Amino acid sequence: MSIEALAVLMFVSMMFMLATGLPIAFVLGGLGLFFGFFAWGSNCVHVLIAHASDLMRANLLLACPLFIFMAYTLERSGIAEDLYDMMYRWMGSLRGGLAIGTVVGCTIVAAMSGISTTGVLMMGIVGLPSMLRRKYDKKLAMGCIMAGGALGPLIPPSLIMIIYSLIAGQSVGKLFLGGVFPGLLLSALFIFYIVTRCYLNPNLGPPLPPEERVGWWEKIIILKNIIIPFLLVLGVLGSISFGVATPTEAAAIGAFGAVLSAGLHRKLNWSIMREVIFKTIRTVCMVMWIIFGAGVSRPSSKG
Amino acid sequence: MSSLRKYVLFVSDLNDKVGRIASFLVIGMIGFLVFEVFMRYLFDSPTVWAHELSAMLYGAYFLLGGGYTLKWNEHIRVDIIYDILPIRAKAILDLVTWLFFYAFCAVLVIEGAQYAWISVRGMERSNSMWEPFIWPSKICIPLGGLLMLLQGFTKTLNDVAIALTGRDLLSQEDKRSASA
Repeated sequence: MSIEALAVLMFVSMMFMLATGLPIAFVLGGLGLFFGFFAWGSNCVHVLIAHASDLMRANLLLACPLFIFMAYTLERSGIAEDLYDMMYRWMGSLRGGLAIGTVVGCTIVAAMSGISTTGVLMMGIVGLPSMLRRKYDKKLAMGCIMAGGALGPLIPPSLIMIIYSLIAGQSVGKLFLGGVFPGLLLSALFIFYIVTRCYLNPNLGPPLPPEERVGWWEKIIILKNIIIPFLLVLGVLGSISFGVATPTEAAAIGAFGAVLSAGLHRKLNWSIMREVIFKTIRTVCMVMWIIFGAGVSRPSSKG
Repeated sequence: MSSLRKYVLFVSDLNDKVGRIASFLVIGMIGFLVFEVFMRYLFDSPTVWAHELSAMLYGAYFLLGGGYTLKWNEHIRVDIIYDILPIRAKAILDLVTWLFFYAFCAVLVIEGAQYAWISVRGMERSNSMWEPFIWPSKICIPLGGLLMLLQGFTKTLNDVAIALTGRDLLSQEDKRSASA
């Protein structure tokens, strides 16, 4: 059988196996072995082991657990309340202001975290009840949180870009840089959409009643809430873009910073840390075993 | 039946313990890398070991955590079709498709063991400046595969039970004591 036919057959059977509900990692790994066996005979099993030991030496992948740990720590660190509090005071008086604030908050969170669930959870838990209490439209409130969460993998740091850079052999710094503008553009478009919708129909996002608005002095004071997120973004993205640290080291600094900021908010206790640590390994293993499986099928699909 | 149930509980418990212990390695990775950055910039004396040690910890971390992740059923899958199937059909389908899982893990265990054995016998060291022994991390390959295999077998046993009787192998009390 020719290489092309083999590749097509492999792709079709991958789609079929994925549809059966076998975990993706084992679909990729199993198919890779199967086709490798078919193409090269029993020698193909060495590929698996060689790939395992390659993965164990890939320093860039080390950034995965660190960024995931950082994201899960941020979720529990109390930064979400701080950010939302600030957005509430600054934007509350506008039509749809809380929704705009949520998108801005998600954008800031996206610059600290590499996965999308962080933004959704952080802004969702504080933002959604508050918006619904102010009689915001349910669809608008949910929509701005979900859309904001999608910025997570786009605005650097981004877990998916790290994995992609390793598999495709691209520079992770360039990929990160490439995500900044589209991410900010999307964020601006979301805000534009919310403003337009709420301008046309004020019932979607009513402004805060005048007695709940705050003066300029309080608006300026609350700006202190952005100091910690700013330092975290600077620590991670700054040290990558100024060449101070490798992405892996930057991830470690970010994870350390997230723990520190949880400590500053007095949210650092044993049960939270335990939960974060256990959740981290499950997510990391889910990702890594897929990469593992994909690595086995990659050489066989190249023929 | 009861010995099968004991096996399932034992393996789930084992993977829980191994996974939880392995999960704390992430603290080590963060600590060593932050230490490295501090040493480099504050004291101008970078270490030779921080990156390599954390990479070795990471290898052990994700290999040993595989079975634990499987126990919690967090290996992601495409469930568009799978989710609408009745429970018995799911079990029967899984009995077939999980053959892939067994092939994958069996290779990992058998080949990985030979590979690790060569490394242990030669007391292999890494060819970096630091030159650590490399066999402890190579042992993790068959070990991780084995933990995965044991955990996967509990799922297959459960699938057989569902296919035959329509019910889970473990009763509700068993599950509660296993997750405690």
